[in-house]
This record gives sequence, structure tokens and C-alpha cells, in this order.
Amino acid sequence: MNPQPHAPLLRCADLRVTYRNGGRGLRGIDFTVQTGERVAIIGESGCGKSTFVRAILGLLPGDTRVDGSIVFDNREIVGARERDLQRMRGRFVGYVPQNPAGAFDPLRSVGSQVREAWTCHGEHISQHEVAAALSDVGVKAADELVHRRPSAWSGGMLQRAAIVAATALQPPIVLADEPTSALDRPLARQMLVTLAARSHATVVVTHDIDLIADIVDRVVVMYAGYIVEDVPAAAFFHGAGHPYSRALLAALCKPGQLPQELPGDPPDGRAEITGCAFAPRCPLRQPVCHLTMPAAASVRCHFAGAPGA
Amino acid sequence: MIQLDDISLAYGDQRILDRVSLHVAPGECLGLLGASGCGKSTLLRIMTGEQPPQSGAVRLGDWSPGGKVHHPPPGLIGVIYQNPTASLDWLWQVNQCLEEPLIALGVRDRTERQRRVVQALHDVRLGHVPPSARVVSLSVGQAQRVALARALICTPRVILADEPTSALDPTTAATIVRLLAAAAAGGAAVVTVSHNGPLLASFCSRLLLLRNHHLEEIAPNEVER
Repeated sequence: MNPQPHAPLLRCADLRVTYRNGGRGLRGIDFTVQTGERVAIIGESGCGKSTFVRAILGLLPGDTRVDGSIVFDNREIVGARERDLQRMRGRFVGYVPQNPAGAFDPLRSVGSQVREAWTCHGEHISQHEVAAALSDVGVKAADELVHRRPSAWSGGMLQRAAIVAATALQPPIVLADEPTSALDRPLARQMLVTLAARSHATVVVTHDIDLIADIVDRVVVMYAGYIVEDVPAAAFFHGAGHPYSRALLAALCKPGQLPQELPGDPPDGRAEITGCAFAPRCPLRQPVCHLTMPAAASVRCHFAGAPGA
Repeated sequence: MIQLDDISLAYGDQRILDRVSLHVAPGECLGLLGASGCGKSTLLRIMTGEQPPQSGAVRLGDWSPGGKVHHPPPGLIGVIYQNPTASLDWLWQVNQCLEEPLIALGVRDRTERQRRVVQALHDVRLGHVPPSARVVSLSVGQAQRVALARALICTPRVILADEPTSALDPTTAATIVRLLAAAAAGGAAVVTVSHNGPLLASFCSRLLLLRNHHLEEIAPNEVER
């Protein structure tokens, strides 16, 4: 049951997702997560981050075409039966959604919904134990709040409840899709720390790049359905290699100074991309960039590491 | 342009605002900070007239909510609501979302409306999204920018933005920040609510912190990271 030491917990190979309308969510992703690793995925909205997370969970719409492979703990997820996927979610992979208010049924008590994280896998837990688990992550007056509906909970508290539900059965990996976008910054940081403390391996999709610097081990940058950079966090923050990563870092806000924009638009999801996807917007582009896609590497750029790059 | 005088509001025994006054001049960019649930969004809803205060006076230009004309005149206020997917109709097409305010404003010419829709989408960096796309097919970040384009398309004199960049990556957020700053430079009074202090400090001329039911002014270098 437990993964072999050093065998990757999750391995995606040449993963491609095509939506029914012909839009490409992912254009060939190679990605691994080791046990205990904390990985951040960043990138422009619409670049395929959420698609990637949903593909791993098997939660894409039924008419979506998924090619390539996602192997999780020696099981192939692409093409697996819904029953097997259901058994997997929660026990082997936890999921923290983007919008906690939308993830809970507004008409039922939060406690009973968090409890389902255990009961739907046949584990018994009392309402009191659920309240204790919620107290552990900082929900105040949990004993009373568990009986209340989501409307009585604040966004931050609901997000904590979602984290408790996602980590209920201590899955070896937890995926979080922008878990902090609804929260203020001190709270967002606290939430990321809580999440990291409660899970073994974490993959977190986030826009709050500056909040994650010392929480994650690895940063993965996505652009237009590709992974363009996949490096240790320290390397990323001390000099990202890909021009797009540098544009992301340059856009972080400083007082009294308008942040740096990135001119141009990302490519259309339906377009065929031959060269580097970022080339039309890239300050370093050369003729070769429009013709060939750089080889897969930790920094996917023809000119990364070149002098002046 | 925006004048709030001695606004007080409580929900039951829970006091939200206590004699809050706020004046925003045309061309001014104001940033409003505060912890989750302190009443920042409520303050914006008081400005739009969605939430009447228990006491105090509200005036935007020459319109007052709660007066004879209950709804703000078309083209006066552009609002960007916090939850982009809930503020747009999922089954609408993007061009419907953007044409509706123009129709309300009285732009009869269909080609003129379409020209402005294309321009507005281009401004928020959604030039690659077909105007006929349905809202449900957009990502959250794209929906947020459609909401922004909808708010700006009539060049309103007052712009109220509630967490306009919460679902956006830094480079797209930078575009939004520059659009709001440009709207202020064009003479609009802009109020932006955010948790993100550094973001507000980057483009707002004045920062206010809502704490303990009062507004206090803070310096840009005091914002917490």
C-alpha cells in the first residue's frame, strides 16, 4: 500500500487534455511528486492549473479527452472506473477547493459534511471528534459551530473545515486549488502552513507567490498548458530561469510603484502551437523560438542560462 | 465625487460601522484595507445603495441612494463584485454581459456596441476569448476580468472594486491595477477593497484601514505583507 521509498508518489507523463469544444487544457505535462514534497503550481489564469488538478482527481467533465498517463501509487488514473476513482479520492488524494463557500451544501450543517470525509469511506467518527479536529486547525467554538450551516461560518473558518475534510484520512497527497484566494494575507499564510502541516505531500495552486516562498520545496510554472519551469523554490526566488517566470516575479507589487505588466495575450486554447508557447510575448525571443518547442527541461527555454538572459 | 457622512450600521447587536465619514475626489484612487469580515464590502454596498445605512448621508455626484431615484443612473457607478462567478450569469455570453450596460446607457448602434465590447475585452487582456463564449466556460480569473470589463465599459465616474484581483496571477493583476489607475487618471473616483496591502499601496494615492468600526489613514510603507 505504501509507496516504495524514492519511487514517485505521483507521476504524470505526456498528459494532454482536450475539451469538447477543441480547447486544449494541457498540452503534454510531465510531472512527478515524491513523498513529503511540497509543490506550488503558479501561472496565468486559464493556463491549465485547475485542469491539471482536476485531471489528477478524475473530476474533468465526462466528454473531455485525456491522453497520456497519470500513475498514482502504481494505479493508472487515466481511464479508471468511476468507482475506483471514488475510492481513491479522500483516501489516497485529498482535495481542497478554491471556493470553500461553494464547496459546502448551504442547507446542511458543516459538521455533518466534514464528517462525510470519514463516513463515505466506511470509517466511524463521532460529531465530537469532528469538532476536535476542527479545533486543532484553529476553528473557535467548534463544538457549537459544527451544528451550524455554512452561512454562520466565515470564509476562513470554512476553508479550515475544507482542509480538515481533505486531510481526514491522512492521504499521502493533498491537492489544493487556490485555497487562499478568498482570505486575507495573514490568514492565507496561516492556512498554507496548516495545510502543509496536516499533509505529507502537498500540491498547491496559488497566485500568492510571495506568501509561499518559505513554505514550498518546489515551484512549477505553467504557461498555456505547458510546464515551462520546474525548479527548487530557492532557485526560483533567487533568479527564475524562464522569461515568463521572471515576468511573474516582476509583477509583484511594491508600494508606490505600479507593477510591471506583461504585454500581449496568451495563445488561444484551440490554436496549434509549434514553437515555444511564450515566444510571442517573450522579450528574449529569436527566430528559432517560433519554430521549435524547447526540449523538456527544468527550464523550458532555448535561451535560459544564456548570457544576458 | 463620493461623500459619506457619519455612516453607522449594525447587524443586530453586531456593530459594523460607527459614524464613518469618507470623501473621495474625482481622479482619486483610494485603497480600503481591513481584516476579513470587518465591513469593507458593506461600506461599498452602502455606496451603491444596496445596503441602506442606519444613519448618515450618502452622495455620489448628484445622486443619493434611497432618494427619489433609487437606482444609480446608468454610467455613474461601475462595480466589480468580490465573487466573479456569482456576479455574472453563467448562461450568458460574454458579449451579452458587456452589451447590457451599454444598452442601459442608451447606445443604440449595434456595431458601436460591438466595437466597444471588443475594445473592452482587449483592455482586460481577454482579446483571445471569443465574445460569444459563455461565462460558464471561463476560468475564475477570466470571469473576474469580464466583470471588470463590464464595470468599465461605460467609463463610469465612480468605480467600486471589491477584491478585483483575488483570483488573478501577478501579471494579470498588474494589468488590472494599471487599468484602475488609468481610470482614475481619466477622472473617475476609484475605491478598491483588498486584503492585499502591497497591491493597494502600488497604485492608490490614499490608503484607509477599517478597524474597530472606524476608518484610519495609513502610510503606504505601513501595509503588512
